[in-house]
Amino acid sequence: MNKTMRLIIAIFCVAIITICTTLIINKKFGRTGMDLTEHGIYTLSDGTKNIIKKITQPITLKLYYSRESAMKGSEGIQYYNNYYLYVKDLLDEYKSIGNGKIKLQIIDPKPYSDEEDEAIQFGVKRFQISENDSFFFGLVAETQLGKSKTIEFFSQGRQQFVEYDISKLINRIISRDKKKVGVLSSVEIMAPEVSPYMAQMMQMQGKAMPKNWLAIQQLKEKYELKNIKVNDYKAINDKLDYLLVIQPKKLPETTLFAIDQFVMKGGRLIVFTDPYCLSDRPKPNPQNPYAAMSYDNSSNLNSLLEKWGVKMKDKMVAVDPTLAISPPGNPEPVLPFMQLTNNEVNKKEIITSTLQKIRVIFAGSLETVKQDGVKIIPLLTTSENGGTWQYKNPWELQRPDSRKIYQEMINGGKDTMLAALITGDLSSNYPNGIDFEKTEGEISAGKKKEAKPKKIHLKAIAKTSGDAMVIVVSDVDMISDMFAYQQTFFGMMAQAGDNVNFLFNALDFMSGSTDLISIRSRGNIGREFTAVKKIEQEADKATASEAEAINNKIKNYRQKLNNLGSYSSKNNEQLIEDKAMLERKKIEEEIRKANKAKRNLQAGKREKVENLKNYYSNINQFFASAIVLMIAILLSIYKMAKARKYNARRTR
Amino acid sequence: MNGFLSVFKRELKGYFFTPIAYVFLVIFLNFAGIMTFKDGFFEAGQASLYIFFINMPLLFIFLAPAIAMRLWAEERKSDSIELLFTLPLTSVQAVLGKFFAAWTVVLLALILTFPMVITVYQLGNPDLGPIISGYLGSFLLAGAFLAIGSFFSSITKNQVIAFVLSIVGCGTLLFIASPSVMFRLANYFPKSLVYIAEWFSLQSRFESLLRGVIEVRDIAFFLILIAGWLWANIMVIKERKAA
Amino acid sequence: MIEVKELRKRFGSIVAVDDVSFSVGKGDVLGFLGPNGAGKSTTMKMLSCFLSPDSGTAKVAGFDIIKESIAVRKELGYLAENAPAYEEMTAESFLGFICDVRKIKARDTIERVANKCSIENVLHQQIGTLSKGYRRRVGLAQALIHDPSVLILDEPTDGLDPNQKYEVRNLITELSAEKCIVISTHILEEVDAICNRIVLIDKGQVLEDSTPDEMRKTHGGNLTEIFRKLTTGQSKNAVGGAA
Repeated sequence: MNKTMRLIIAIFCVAIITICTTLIINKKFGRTGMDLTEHGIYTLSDGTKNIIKKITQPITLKLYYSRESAMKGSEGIQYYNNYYLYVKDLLDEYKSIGNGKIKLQIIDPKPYSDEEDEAIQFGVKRFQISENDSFFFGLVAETQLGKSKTIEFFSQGRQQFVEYDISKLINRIISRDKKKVGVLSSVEIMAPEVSPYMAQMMQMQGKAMPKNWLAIQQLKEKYELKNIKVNDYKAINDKLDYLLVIQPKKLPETTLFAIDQFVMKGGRLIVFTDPYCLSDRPKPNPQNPYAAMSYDNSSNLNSLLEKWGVKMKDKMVAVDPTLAISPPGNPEPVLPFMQLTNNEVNKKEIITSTLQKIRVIFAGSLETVKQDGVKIIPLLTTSENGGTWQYKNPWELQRPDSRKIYQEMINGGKDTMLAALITGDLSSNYPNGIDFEKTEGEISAGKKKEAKPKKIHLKAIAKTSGDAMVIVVSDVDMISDMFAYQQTFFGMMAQAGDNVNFLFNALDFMSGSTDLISIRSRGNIGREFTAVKKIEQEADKATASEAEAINNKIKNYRQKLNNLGSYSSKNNEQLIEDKAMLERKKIEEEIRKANKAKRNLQAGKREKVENLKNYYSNINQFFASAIVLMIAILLSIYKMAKARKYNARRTR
Repeated sequence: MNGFLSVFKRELKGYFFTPIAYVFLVIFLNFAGIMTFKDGFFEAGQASLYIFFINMPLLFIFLAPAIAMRLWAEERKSDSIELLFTLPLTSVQAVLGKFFAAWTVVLLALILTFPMVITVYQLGNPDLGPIISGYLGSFLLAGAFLAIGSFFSSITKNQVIAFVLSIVGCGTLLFIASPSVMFRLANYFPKSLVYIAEWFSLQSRFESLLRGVIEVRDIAFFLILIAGWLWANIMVIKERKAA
Repeated sequence: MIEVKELRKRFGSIVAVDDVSFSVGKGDVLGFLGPNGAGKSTTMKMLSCFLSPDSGTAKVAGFDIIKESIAVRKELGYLAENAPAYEEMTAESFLGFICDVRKIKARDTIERVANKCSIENVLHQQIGTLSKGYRRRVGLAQALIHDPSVLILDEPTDGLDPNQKYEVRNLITELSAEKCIVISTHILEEVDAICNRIVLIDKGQVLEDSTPDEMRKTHGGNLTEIFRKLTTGQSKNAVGGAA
C-alpha cells in the first residue's frame, strides 16, 4: 500500500481524535476553571446563588438569539456573536446551580416562524437588519403559571452587568409584583386623591384639577405609590419599600427622624434637593403680591445627609461652560442650564451606565464629607471644566447673566458632583431617639425634657445593619414636566433625554434585594493610570497660582473692555472712537497673550504626560531587545576569543 | 527522556548559535512594544495588559512559523536527519525535544516582555489575574502555532514552503470562528458543522483566557491541539524520514 | 556480527535493494562495492535503522534492526554518505551532543576521538566552515565516539587528500581487530588495502560475496577489471535473463 496514502489516512485519524477529545472535554467540563480576577468577576456571585436558591417553582429561561442572521449581518451585528456565547455560558452556569429548577432553552427565531412571533409577544426587541432577516438577542424568564419577564435586548453597553441583569430578571419573576414607594414632597408633585364628587365640584368651579407630574404618572405603572404628607411621620414606615423625597423644605424633626430611621432599618431613600427649584413656585397670593419676590425655593436635606457623607453647598449653583445649553427661546447658552453627556455620567455604575443625555437646571453642588465606613459614588458630575458659582441673592438666578457667572465661577479644577450614591455603614443622626410634644399641627423639638407628660419618646436604631443605600440628586427640575419631557408634534408628551430614565434606573436599582446589589458591587473598579493622574494634579497644583493670576488678568482686561464699550458708546466723536479702538485693540492683544500663557501652562502639563508616555514606550520597545542584542554581541565576541585562543595554543 | 533532553538542549543551542533566536527576540520585543503603544495603550489609561496581549496572535502567526520552519525542513535539507535517527533516539523524543526547544525560545521572549508588567504596575494598580492568564494564553497560543509549524516543517525540505503553509494553517485555526468566515462556511456546510467549527477557534479561546479566567476546556483545547499536531508530526517523521 | 537476510527495499516502482543477504563477523572489514545507484547506501541506511526494509531483516550486534532498533543504534557507529552534521555548531559541541545522546562523558572522549581522527585543530570551528575532508573526519569521529562494536561507514575517504586517506585507512585497520566494519567505496585499491571481504552489488542484488584474493583467483585480473567485467557484464546477462 502506498505509504503516503497511509500517512494521510493516519493524520486524518489524528485530526478526528483531536476534534472529538476537544468536544468531549467541552461538554464534560463546561466552564469549570479558576477565576483569577481580583474580584472574581467571572464567577457567579453569592448574590446570584442566593437568588437562585429562592426559586420555589421551576422557571424556564428562553434565550433568543438570531445566530444565523447575525452571521450574515454587518460587523456591528457580528460583534454580538462573542457576547452571545458569553451569555450562553453564563446561563449554563445558572442552570447548573439551579439544580433542575432552571430550564434553559436556546432559540434562534427564524423569520416568519412561530418562534419569532413568540419572541415578539414576549417583548423581545426585534431589529430588522435586512429585508428578510431580523435580529433578536433577548432573554425571557417564564414560570409554569405563565408569568413572564423579559430582558428585551442585551445591549452592548451593559455587557459588564449581564449577571446583574439576569439575576434581576429571575428575582423579579419570583418576587412580589409591585413595590411600594412613598413620595414625600414639598411641591405638589402628586395630586391628592380626590373623590369623583370633589373632582366634579372643582371642575364646576373652573379650578384646574391638580395633576400628577408626568414622571410620577409613569412611575405609577410600575410601582405602588403612596403620597406622604410632609408632617405625616407615621406613614414613613416598614411598609414602604422605598422613599422618594422631593424638594424637602424645612421638614419637621419628626419627619426627619422618621426618614433617618427608615434608612437605618434598611429602607432605600432617594432625595431630590435643589438650590433653586423652578418648579417650586409660590401660590399666587392676591393679598401680598410681593411675597412671591421673597419666596425661597431652595431645599436641602443636609441635616441628615451630612452625617452620611454628602452635603449640598449653600447658595451654590453648579456651572460648566462646556455643557451649557440655551433654554428654549434663548439664543445664547445660559450657564446653569447644562446638558450632561457620556463623560459626565458614571459609566461604571448600573444606574447611569446606559444614560446618554441628562439636562439639569440650577443644580446644586454636592460635596463629600468624610465619614468612616461610608462610600460615596458620584453618579452625575460636571465636566472637569465645571465649577460652582455662588449667588448673593436669588434675584440673580431669575435672569442669569452668563458672562458674570463665568467671571465669578469658582473653578474647582475637579468635577463638581451633581448626584451621588451613598452606601456603606451609616449611623443615625438621632442615635438617642427623639422626644417631642404631641400637639396637633405643631411639633416642637424637645431636647431631653424628661418627665414631662404628653411628651413622646421615640427610640432609635443607631446604625444601619448591612448596606444602606441613599441616592442624592441636587436638582429637582430635572424630573419636572418642564425639563424631562417635551411636546411632540402630535401634542403628546415624550421623554426628553434620559432625565426620567435616571429616576427609573435609580428606583429599579434600589428595588433590588441585597443579593442583587451585592452582584453590582463587584469588579467594576476602574484601573486607571494613577501615576498619570498624579502628574496632572501635581502640574495643576504647581501652576495653580500662575493660572489664577492669568485668569485674574483676563478678567481685568475683560472688565476694561466692557467699560471701554460703554464709554465709547456715549461719545460718538470720531476722534475718541479711534482712540478707543486703539485702546481696545491693545487690550484684546493683551487678552490674547494671557490666553496664550494659559495654554502654555496646559501644554506644560501635556508635555509632562507625553514625556511619560514616550519614556514607557521606549522602555518597552527597546530595553529588553537591547539586552538581547548586547548578549548576542558579547557571546559572539566570547566565542571568537575562545576560538582564537584555542588556535593560538594549537599553533604554538 | 535522556534522548529528549539531548535533542532539546542541542536544538535550543542551535537557536542561539545562529542569529535566529536573537532576530526573533528583537523583532518580537520591538513589535510587541510598538503595537501596544500604537494601539492606544497609554491613551486608554487602563492599567491592564489587554491591549498588549490582544496583539499576540498577530505577532505569533508570523513569528512562530518563522522559528518552527527550520525544525525539520533544515534537518531534511542538510541530511542531518540521517544522523539524528541513527542515534539511539525515538521519533517521539526527537519531535518533542525540538518542539519544546522552540517553545522555550517563545517562553524566553514572553519573559523578556517583563517591562510591560512593570509599566502597568508603575502607572496604576492592575489586576494580576488577567496578566497571569494572559501570559499563559499567549504561551499556549504560541505552543499551538509552533506545533502546527513543526508539523508543516516536517513534510517538506523547503523552509519557505514550511513557513507559508504554517501561516495558512495557523491563520485558519485563528480565524475559523470569526463571523465573516463562519458566514461563508455556512453557505457550504451544514450549520451544525459550522457551529462545531466555532469550538476550534484559537482566537476565541485565547480571548477567553485573557479575561482572567483559566478554564479547563480552554487549557485542554490548546494542549490537545498541540498534542494532535505533534502526533501527526511524529507519524510523518516515522514514515518518511528519508523523503 | 551483522547478518543480513533477504533485505528488500523499493522506492515507488524502483527496487533499490532486492533480496540482499550476507553476513560479517568480528574482525572483518567488509568492502561494499557497486556502481552508483546499486543500493549500497540504501542497504547501509537500513542496517543503521534509518530506513526500514519492506521485507527481510537483519541482525546487527545480535539485535534485530526492526524490533530492537534502539539497541542496534546504541551498538552501531554510522557515517552517512555526506557526513551530515549540524553546520551551525562547532565540532566540539557537535561531538558533545553525540556524547550526550549516547550517554558518555564528553570531556576525555572528545579529546581522544579528536586525536584519533586528527581534528583537534578544528574543534572550535563551526562545522559549516570546515573543508570536506575535515567534515568527513568529524563525521568519522562521531561514528567512533562511543567505541561501537559495529561500524558502518559510507565512503569514509571520499574527499580526503592522500595523506588523510592514508591516516583513515590506518585507523580502520587499527580498529578492525576488535570490531566488525562495513565500508562502501569506489576506490578499489582501498579495498585491497584494508578489506578482507568484498560484497559486490548491482541493481540491488549481490553479485559476489568473497575475499579480494579469491576474487582475483576466480575472475583473473585486478579488482578494477573484475569490477568492470561483473557490473557491465551482469547488466547484459540481466537483460538476457529477463528476455
